Amino acid sequence: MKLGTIVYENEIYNLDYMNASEIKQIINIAETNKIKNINEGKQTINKPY
Amino acid sequence: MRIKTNDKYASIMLKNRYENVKNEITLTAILNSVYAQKISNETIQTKVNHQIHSIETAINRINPKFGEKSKNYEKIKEQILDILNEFETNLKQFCEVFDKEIQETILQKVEFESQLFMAVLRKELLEPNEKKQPKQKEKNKPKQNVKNTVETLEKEVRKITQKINELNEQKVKKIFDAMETENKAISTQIRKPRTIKKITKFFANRFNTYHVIVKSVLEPIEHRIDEFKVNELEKVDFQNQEFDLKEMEKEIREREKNVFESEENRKICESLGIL
Repeated sequence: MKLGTIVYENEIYNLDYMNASEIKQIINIAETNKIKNINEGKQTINKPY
Repeated sequence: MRIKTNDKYASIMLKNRYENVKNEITLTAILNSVYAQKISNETIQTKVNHQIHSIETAINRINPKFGEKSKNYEKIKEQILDILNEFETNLKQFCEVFDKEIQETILQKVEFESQLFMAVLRKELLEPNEKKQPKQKEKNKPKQNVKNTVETLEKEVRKITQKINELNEQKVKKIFDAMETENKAISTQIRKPRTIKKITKFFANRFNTYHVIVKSVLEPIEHRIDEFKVNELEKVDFQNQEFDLKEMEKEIREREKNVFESEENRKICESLGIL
């Protein structure tokens, strides 16, 4: 099965040549960034300008 | 509906956040599905390698000088390759059920995460309208409902992530336990022919190595494979479908669309200038 490539944070990742542990690292980074973006979305709405 | 802050700046920031969150939801879902496939492939490969090593050590115990130039080498090689192919296909079919369940949970997670983001936006946007109408008695009820949805959705997202990790761990255990001997050590019951007095020990190991290998090494493995097919694989519905990442990506994007572009959420997104 061919998985292809993914681009994240200006870096290219070839999924065919990556281990499970390397993919898990990227998952952890992406999930922390996702939570950050949701929380920063709350702050932009509540910030007084 | 109005936002509390400066509208232009906030709408630009929210648009960026919306796009980032949307992309990260799809990316994490794709990576989780790829991670599940990689784990299954790696565990199957280690189990097959263990089986190869056990066969090699058993053959070495029977006759340490059995090699490429010895008699019936190619016959045994073909039989071993056929057995290992069956071994691997059984494990792949067994994995398929677990991987399907993991993919369904990943798609549920996509729905909950996108609902969570829309619930956060809805929560912040409903508050200014409630302040303008303070005399209504039903002031607190929509707040509570919105708060409950955000908290409940966060809990459900955590539960689903735990469930995905648990399913991967269960899959690995069951693969390692499949088609395994009751005795974890290598069997030492090698059926050798009776030594004839006139023939020395030098020749004794070289007689009927083919038959000894077949009876003591290959037939027990075939027996375990057949038992596994009868006991385990018949209970399971597998379709022999290979994992297609593009189809998974399509389903992920459809589920996201269904949430972000639903009737309730479309108004919020249009008011913010996202859609």
